[in-house]
Amino acid sequence: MKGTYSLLGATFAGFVGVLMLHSPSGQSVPVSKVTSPTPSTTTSSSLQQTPPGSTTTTTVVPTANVNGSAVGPLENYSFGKMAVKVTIANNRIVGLSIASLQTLESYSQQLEQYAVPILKSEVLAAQSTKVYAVSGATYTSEAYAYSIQGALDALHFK
Amino acid sequence: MITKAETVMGTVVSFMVDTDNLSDKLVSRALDEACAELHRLDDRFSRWKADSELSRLRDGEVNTTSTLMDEVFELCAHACNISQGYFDPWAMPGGFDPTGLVKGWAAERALSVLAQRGITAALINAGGDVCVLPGTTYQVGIRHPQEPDALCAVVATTSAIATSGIYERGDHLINPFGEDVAAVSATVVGGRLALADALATALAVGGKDVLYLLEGLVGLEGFFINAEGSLFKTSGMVFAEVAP
Repeated sequence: MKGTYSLLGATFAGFVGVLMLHSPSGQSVPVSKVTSPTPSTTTSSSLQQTPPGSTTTTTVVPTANVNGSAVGPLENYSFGKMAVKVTIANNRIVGLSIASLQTLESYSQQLEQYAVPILKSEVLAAQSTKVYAVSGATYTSEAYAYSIQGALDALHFK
Repeated sequence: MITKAETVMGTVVSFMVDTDNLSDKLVSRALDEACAELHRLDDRFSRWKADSELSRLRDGEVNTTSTLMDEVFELCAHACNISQGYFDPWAMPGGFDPTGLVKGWAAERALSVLAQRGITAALINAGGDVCVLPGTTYQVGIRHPQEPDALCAVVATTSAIATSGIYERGDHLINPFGEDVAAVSATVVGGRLALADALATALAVGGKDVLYLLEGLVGLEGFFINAEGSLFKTSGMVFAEVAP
């Protein structure tokens, strides 16, 4: 799939950008935090698929004990722009994730905005719209009694 | 129809079972078992119980993980992957925190307990995240983020629907990328509840970026509402026709 390849390409370019931050210039790495190993994403597969001939990773990773994470530059990929974040602990890459993703301007532009309707129970009753459950942000046990779901359940218990 | 409401996981889980031609006794026993499953999972995955497996893992007290924890790891990794990192339990303060996925996943497991007992039509609402047994369509209302006693939409669902928002529980959602949270309310419809739950969190955090990702995920639709009161939806998101 063409899209995938260009995504991987952009990932790799971003990754090299990150590694360049670690180039042995004696500069310390901008340490933000050390995260636990991030689950492998498509980005890590691009690492494994690096051609055996490429020695980029072995040459630029510094020998000093490096811990921290850094974000590479934004790179174009087929659906927009993305940047890759790499996390290193004891010189080992322990996390590789997408640090920022900007979708195409065109998608944002084509999105329609809708005003949010306010549907009160009278409205729903008048139109005989039977609502079985209410989805919303998680309520506490205490707030449940005052939630619409609480009211619905009270009705059903009758 | 038999209903039940159970206080568990820091919220209330509502059950609605179509008794069909099953005995009330069988249904109420199945509901008890489903609730027991929820409590069992809460004991293991609660962030607020000091002796839960999750708490001990976060505190570095355990080196090995249970099969259930491994399953949650895998689901989290998958959700992190398909949300391009907008749902990232590994990026939460204080260490690995799968709370945004576990509630939906636990409700799914409770629903399968009901199915195993012969129930064919049922709905579970785990504190605002809803899953239903396939084969029946249920109208589910979406709470209006600014009007606590009103809905902002009604959605017909045959699988799962999850909403994430910042208006209840004082929940403050965290953007793994350090930026502002895009929405006051975000809903994801379709597929399995564990992922819908995680993706609703991702959509609330990432807004348009995650809406765009949802466009590419088969069987999933969604919408979010921003602080200005505008609603944005995926192209395939369909609302039940209710005139306000």
